[in-house]
Amino acid sequence: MMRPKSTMELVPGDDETYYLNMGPQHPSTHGVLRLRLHLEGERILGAEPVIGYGHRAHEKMAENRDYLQFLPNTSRIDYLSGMIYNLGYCQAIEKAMQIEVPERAEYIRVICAELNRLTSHLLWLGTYLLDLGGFTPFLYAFDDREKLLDILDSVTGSRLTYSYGRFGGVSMDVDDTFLRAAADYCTYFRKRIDEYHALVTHNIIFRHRTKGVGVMGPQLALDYGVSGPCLRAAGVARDLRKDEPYGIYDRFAFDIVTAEGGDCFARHMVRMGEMEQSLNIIEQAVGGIPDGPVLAAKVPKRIRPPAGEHYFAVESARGHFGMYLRSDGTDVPVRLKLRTPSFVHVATMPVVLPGTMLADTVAILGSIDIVIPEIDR
Amino acid sequence: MTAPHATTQFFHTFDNPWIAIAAATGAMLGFITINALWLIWLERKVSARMQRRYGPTEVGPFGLLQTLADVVKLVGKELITPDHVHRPLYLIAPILAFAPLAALLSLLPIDADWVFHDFDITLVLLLAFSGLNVIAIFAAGWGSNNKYALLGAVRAVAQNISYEIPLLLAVLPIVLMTRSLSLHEIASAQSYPFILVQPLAFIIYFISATAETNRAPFDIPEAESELIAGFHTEYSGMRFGVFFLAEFTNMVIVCAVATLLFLGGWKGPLLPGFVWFFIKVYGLIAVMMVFRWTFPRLRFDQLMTFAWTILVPLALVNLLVTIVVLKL
Amino acid sequence: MSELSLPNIAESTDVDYSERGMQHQHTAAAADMPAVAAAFRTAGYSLEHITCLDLRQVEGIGAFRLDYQFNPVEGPVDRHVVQAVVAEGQAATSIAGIFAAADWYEREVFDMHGVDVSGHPDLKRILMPDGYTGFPLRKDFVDEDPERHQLSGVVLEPGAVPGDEPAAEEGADEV
Repeated sequence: MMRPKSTMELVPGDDETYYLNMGPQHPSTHGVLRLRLHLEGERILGAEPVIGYGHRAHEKMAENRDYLQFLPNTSRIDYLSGMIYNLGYCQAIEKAMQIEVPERAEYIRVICAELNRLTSHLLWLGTYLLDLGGFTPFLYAFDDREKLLDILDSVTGSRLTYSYGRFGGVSMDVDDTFLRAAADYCTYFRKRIDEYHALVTHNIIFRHRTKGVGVMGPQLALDYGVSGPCLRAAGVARDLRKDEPYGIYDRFAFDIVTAEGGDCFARHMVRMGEMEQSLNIIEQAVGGIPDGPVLAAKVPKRIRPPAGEHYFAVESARGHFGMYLRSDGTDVPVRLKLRTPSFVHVATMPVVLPGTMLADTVAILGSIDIVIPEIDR
Repeated sequence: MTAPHATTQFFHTFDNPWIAIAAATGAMLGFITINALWLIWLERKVSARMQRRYGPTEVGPFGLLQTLADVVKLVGKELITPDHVHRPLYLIAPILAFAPLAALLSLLPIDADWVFHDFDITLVLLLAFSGLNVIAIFAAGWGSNNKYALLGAVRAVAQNISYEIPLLLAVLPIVLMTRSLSLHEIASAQSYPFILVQPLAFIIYFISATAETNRAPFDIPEAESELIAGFHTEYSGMRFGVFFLAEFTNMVIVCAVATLLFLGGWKGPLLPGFVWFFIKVYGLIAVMMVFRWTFPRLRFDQLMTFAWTILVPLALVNLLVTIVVLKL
Repeated sequence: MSELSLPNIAESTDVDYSERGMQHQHTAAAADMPAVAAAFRTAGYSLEHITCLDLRQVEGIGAFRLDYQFNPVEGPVDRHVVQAVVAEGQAATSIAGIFAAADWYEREVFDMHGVDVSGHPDLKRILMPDGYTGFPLRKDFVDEDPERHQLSGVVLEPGAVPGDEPAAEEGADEV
């Protein structure tokens, strides 16, 4: 029986297709995501993501507290790159209020954000291989991530939800131990990347499972606004750190890692490459960090961004994280829209999944690196 | 028929044959349980070493009793039967998975004169009994009345049927070489291990056997990242434990057959025969474990393609070459 | 990619990118949004987000405003925000046929602000459960579940929540 390429509808009398609920409690949806799949045997005819199970109304909370009080929320939106979100939020407010940030704080921010990007990519690598049925890389990646968390923990006091940024700088200065640990980690991790390539990238089963699977072409960037590693894997060199440099990213030499094909393997290669680029950035930042204060001397007592709309975007580990702020000049925002990358990436699933196998669903969902609280906010 | 067997002697020590059967069954069950306990411990230690961990260390020396503690926990758990299952199938499936194992184990010659049963067609019987496993898995998947369990069961049936063919084709050259279907005679006939002359058959057999036992990278029937737990999603407590026991005992059986067919069975210098036998069997099992903790999982269609387009033709070619060489 | 030429734009202002993070703000009628969006798409712009603002109490205009943000997929950043005012009770016009991303963004607008979007292929709740009533991001939203009243920002009468003492409005926002 000929069936349309993508459909969610059960046809009466056609007994060979059925629905399968994947989630909200499923080991591979990385949280409370639910995918309604329309299957014919193991082949996917249609997919409909159902989201909102982790909805915590961050945007509503933002409207009911002042700007500083919302700061801890930001690292809870995407708990895997909490530092990037934290600092991004601070930078958004600083930009709106034109607060100058001291040099040293800018360097610390870059180091911490890139360390955070490494932790996020490492967690992705581990869980991705777990999704594909490889257990061992998971523990290797978590081992390396643990070392990073210790480094971040030593300066921020937390492992996941950092709340490290402040308007005008960062909350605490770093010492030489931290900088040395970060630099040492870079040396150590370069060798480890080669090991990961040997263990994972060159594994024939891994290649068979990921090559040509889940192609997200550049067209999806136009249609959906796909961003981050998913977009760069399709060969589009778009990285907000280069294209719209925030903070002091324009001072560092690093490449935008791209790959061809837009499949799961390309996304893997992009993230592996990005980890190396993050190491480059950290090394440059550790080498060039100046002495000085870490918090601006003149931060207004009351945070009141000028009335009107403001937009600020950062490149999180998953892609384009934007904050659209409407202020009316008071202590409390009128509206703070959080534009999160995973929301967009999950929205593409109805066009990416049909035609693949059930096992590919897991590979594809894993490869786009979704974080559920970020989708649901 | 080969000469004196422990079974005959063993049975004759009892006056009543029923007591003898009970004792033999008890011995088998004891072996199955202790073997599973030790294999699970081994699996944990192997995986831990590969993953830069320690594995169990707390319960007993080297954590040896950890599995026992887990079994006690499993036995103590409530047996939950979900409302929506097909009860007869659901309840019989674990028994179906477990029952053939004792029969299978009794066919294995452990030492030159240590065989429970031996007759002309032990190899055929053994391969036939291993096929029953599929029925158990399908009964579990179908009876669970759960889409994930059914998907797992369907995968298991397709996979096991596909891989039985290269498995048999890999065994046939050995049968042709020894002109015997008795495991004891095949093992006895090996003045050198047959792996030296039939390396390809051994590799095909071992890959197929890994697939037959649903071990990674062929563990798609229970691929937990896709199908939660596959065919045993709806099983809890000791019912799940029985599937687990069956899996580990199946590993022993396929590795024991590999040992008998390709590695010379109990033959080896210095040590007694049965020690050599178990060294070889557990060595092969350790290799299977290393597989599991190294490779990601294949996709279902890739698995089938691999069996039908690579393993089966290779095994056929190997069989033909063997026939030609033997006839020359 | 052709040059960007925008039809049906009522008013345009250039804003300071270094302060606002965007280059252009436009106003358009809600019904003209498909044409505007199509122009952006032809020029190689993608939709970054649709944000709904509840301006009924903020600007006192009895209306919601949908802000559509566009940015080129490749090349330098050139951010356009098109504002379309939708009077209360009126419907916005869907651009899901032009940008697939708008499908979910418009569902979110409907879910959170209760703004109807005409021409949407499947307008239903996205973040809140299907049977939910009320629109959480409206400024006058009151959560019927008193246990979660902190979210609404509306301070209930003291004693409205059993066991909850009066001073639970600020600081105790543990969610």
